[in-house]
Order: sequence, then structure tokens, then C-alpha cells
Amino acid sequence: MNERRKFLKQLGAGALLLGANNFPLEAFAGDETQKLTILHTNDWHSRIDPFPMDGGKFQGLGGAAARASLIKKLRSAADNVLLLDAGDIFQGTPYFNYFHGELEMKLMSQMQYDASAIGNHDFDNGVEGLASQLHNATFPLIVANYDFTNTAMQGKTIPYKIFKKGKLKIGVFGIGIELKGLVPDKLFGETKYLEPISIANNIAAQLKNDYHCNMIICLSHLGAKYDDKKISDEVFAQSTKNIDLIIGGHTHTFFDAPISYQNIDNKQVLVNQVGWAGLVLGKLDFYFKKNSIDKQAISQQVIISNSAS
Amino acid sequence: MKFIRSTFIIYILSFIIQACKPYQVADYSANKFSMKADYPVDSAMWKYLIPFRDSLNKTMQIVIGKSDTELTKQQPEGTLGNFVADALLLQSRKELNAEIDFSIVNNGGIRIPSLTAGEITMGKIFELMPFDNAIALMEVRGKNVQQLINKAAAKGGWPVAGMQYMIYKGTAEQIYINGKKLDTLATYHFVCSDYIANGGDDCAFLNSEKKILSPILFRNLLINYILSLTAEGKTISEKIEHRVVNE
Repeated sequence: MNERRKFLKQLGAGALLLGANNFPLEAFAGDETQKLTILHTNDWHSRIDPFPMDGGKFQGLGGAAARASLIKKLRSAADNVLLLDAGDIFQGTPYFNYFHGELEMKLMSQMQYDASAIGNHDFDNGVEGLASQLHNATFPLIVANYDFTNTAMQGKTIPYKIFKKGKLKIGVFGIGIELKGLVPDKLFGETKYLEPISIANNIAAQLKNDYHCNMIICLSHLGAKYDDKKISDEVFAQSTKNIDLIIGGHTHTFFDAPISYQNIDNKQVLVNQVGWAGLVLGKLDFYFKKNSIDKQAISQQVIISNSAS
Repeated sequence: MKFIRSTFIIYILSFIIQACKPYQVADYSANKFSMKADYPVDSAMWKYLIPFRDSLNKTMQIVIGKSDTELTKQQPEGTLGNFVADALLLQSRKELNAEIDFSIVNNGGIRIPSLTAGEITMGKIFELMPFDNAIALMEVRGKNVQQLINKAAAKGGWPVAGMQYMIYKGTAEQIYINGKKLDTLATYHFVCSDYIANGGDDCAFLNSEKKILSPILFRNLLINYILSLTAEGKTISEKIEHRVVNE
């Protein structure tokens, strides 16, 4: 082999290698984007009908039947959808006083909710009152930091659930707010609130390392933020790790867009909350890639839409 | 040939490595949809809801009484608060058949800003008080009454009946119960919601106080009060009486 032929051969191989490391491999090795659409609500407080036309600030807005049709429309345009709620399903209209939460659970089931956290007002008919409505729900109530031992809810909730969506595994766990002082003692009975940060870190680590979830979502009813040191989503997001997204509730906060925090590993956590009463449906589209680098922050594009019509 | 073979191995290896890499969030977009009044409803769900709505509306549209004026929620004192406090005191005296000195209502427990003049429906009272709170009869020493009214003053003034007080620099002064100055050593009986009686709204100091927790719902008490006024041919007539004043 003369020098020139050797050179040409090496050049050819090199070119092939170069190509292999770039375009053809990536296309072949399944580096296509996976998309997950998260639809979410919080604190819908038995607002089954739109607000009455009485001159109030929200008159005519909201309503479960309108939300159901919007969800249907959005589902038809997306492959991988998770529909989630952050709790306080109950209390706020006579529907709850008269039907005790039956309708709320049935309507959420008809809308095919995948999971919900538990809010403080979900105890308004007592632990028993909540337990008695579970047969109307086709979705699980997810909470990791309530110990329901010796209550009617014992064994009726799960701490987390893993959803398989396309090629993705999504881990979802739930965190509830401290009940003492917020809910009359007799209503929550022997339910024990457990400090959420260490529990969340354990579960998130398990979901990531043992179950290899591609994304970890926390359904939280802690509340967005407080003036005092009380634990909120803001505090929680910055005190935990392995969580990608916190769907919040309780404070009825209308976020303009998700808020981004740095967790204890200096990685990005997003928190979002969409007010209350079913006035707003949140939609977050996540795009997944097989990245070689562990990104510190994800890029974003925020579209604020004002109307569902 | 060796080159081609090694290239092929590297190709396969990178393929496997690449395939084993986990999917990670790379990007997102956020969107929100406000549920406008004209958004089309899901017709199946709408139909499903009709019987529930109809049976509820039948009850909620029942007219139970009438108010002469619009009642409004205001601090330190408002006509809506006075109405709720009056109903709590007068109707509790009847239904609990007890001697009660005064009533107090946590302002946050009143869930509507106003009640329009004219006919009052059952539904309006549900909006005013959606929570299923019951009423509590408390027996406390005068010094604890002072503590409670201090709390009410610090929160901008809570509605009362059978009592007057002045808010001075965030605490209560000049507390009069049925026209007589508060005696910190005397024992008083008052009614409030069990939410407060059990320490809610920063009233933890009431936790250990002597109390009778009645099964009567606050909302039902309001409804019964209005119905009894109607039965006597009366209407709701409330005005600002300087029960609570700012210094």
C-alpha cells in the first residue's frame, strides 16, 4: 500500500467515524424528541357550575362541563397527556353540602384525571367523609406525608405512582399541608402530618434511581409562598432534589407563568399554580431528549394565552 | 478492512450507549386557558349534571326572607357582620335555651362581600356561609374575653352582638358587654363558631376554655333566624351602630 492510498483510506474511515458520531447515529439511536403534555388544576372547590351571573368578579366563568370539553379537545391534539389536580376538590358551593363530594369525584373521573393530591378542605366532611367518596373516583389520591393509620382512609391512598407515557416513565408523588390549626381536629381525627422534605427526597430518589423515571412531579397542597417561615412550594422546591415540577395549590395563586427555582443540587425546579375554582386550566408541554449532558437549566418558551375560546 | 470493522464496532457501541441514555427534559412551553363564559360545554357532562342542578336549584331558590337594605361586609363594622352576629346571638339564645352575654364572628367566616337588598334566598345564605361549622357556647373569664377581643381588634375588627369595643393601636379598649364595662374577673358566656372555639383563626387560647360544642350548624341557625323574622312579619333591618370603632 503506498502512502497516498493509506492516507485516502484513513481519511475515508475518519470521515465515516465523524459521521457516525453525528447525524446517522443520533437519528438511528432513537434520539427523537418525546413530548409530554401536563394539564392541571387546583382548588376547584366544588365549582361545578360557572360562577353565577350576579355581577361578581368571576361571573359566567369556569364550570366543569366547559373544562371537560377543553380537556377533550387538548387530548385529541396530544399523544402523551397527564391530567393532574393539587387538591381542595371539595367545599365552596351547595353541591358539596348536598351531595358530599360525589359529583366532584364523578366529574373528575369523567374527565379522566390521572391523579390528585389531597387538600385541607377535602377533610371538611371528616376523614370518613373523604373515604366515603373514593368509590366515585377512578383516579388515585396521592399523598406521601399523611399517615392515615387507624383512620377511615387507611390503605386508601398511595404515596406515588409511575405513569408510562410513550417511551417515558413519569413519577408522580403527593404532599399535603399541615392540618393542625387549619382543619378542626375532629375532622382529620388521627391523621398524622409528617414533615415533607425528607419524605420527598426519599421518594424522588427512589423514583429516579430505582424506577428510572424520566421526570418527577410533585402534587403539592403546601401553598405557593408565605411571609413567615411556614413551608411553602417556594421553600420546598429549594430544599429538595430530583424533582422537576411542582404542581401547587392552596393559596389560590394565579401564576402568570411557572416560577423557576434552584434545588439543593442547583438544578432547576418549576412550580406552577392556576388560581382556583376551575377558572384556569394549566397546560405544560415538556420535550424530552436523550442528552449526554445533565442540564443545569432547561430552556423555556412561555406562551400566555388568555382565552379558551 | 480492519478500519471498516472497527468503525462498525464503534458505530454499534455508540448506538447502544446512546440508546441507554435516559430521556431528559430538554425544553418546555407553558400555556394556560382561562375558562371563558362562552366556551362550549361537553354536552354529555352537561346532560349528566341537569338532575343534580335542578334538585339543588329548587332548594336554593327558595325565598326565606327580605332585607330592607343592602348588607355589606366591612371593617371595623359592617351591616352584614352585624346581621350575622345578631342572628348568632338571638337564635342561639332560643335554640340553646341558655343565658348568653354576647356573640362574636370571625370576619373571614363571612364568605360574601354583600347581600343585596330585597329577597334573600337559601342559596345566598349558603354562599355567605358555605362551611359546615357548628356553633359553640363558651364560658370564659373576663381576662380571656379581653384576649379574644384584642385578637379581633388586631385583625381589623370582628362583628359582635351584645358588645361594643374600640380599636386602639391594634388592641381592644373600652369593651362594654350589654352596656357594662368588661370585668376581667367576671365569668362570661358567649357564642361563636366551633372553628374559633377550637382555636382556628389564631384563637388557640380558646382551645382549653370551657365550652359546649353544639351540633347546630351556623348556617342553619342563620336560616332559622331569617325564617323566624319572616314568620313574625319582619324584615332584616341592620345599620351601623358603632359596636366596633377605630380610635
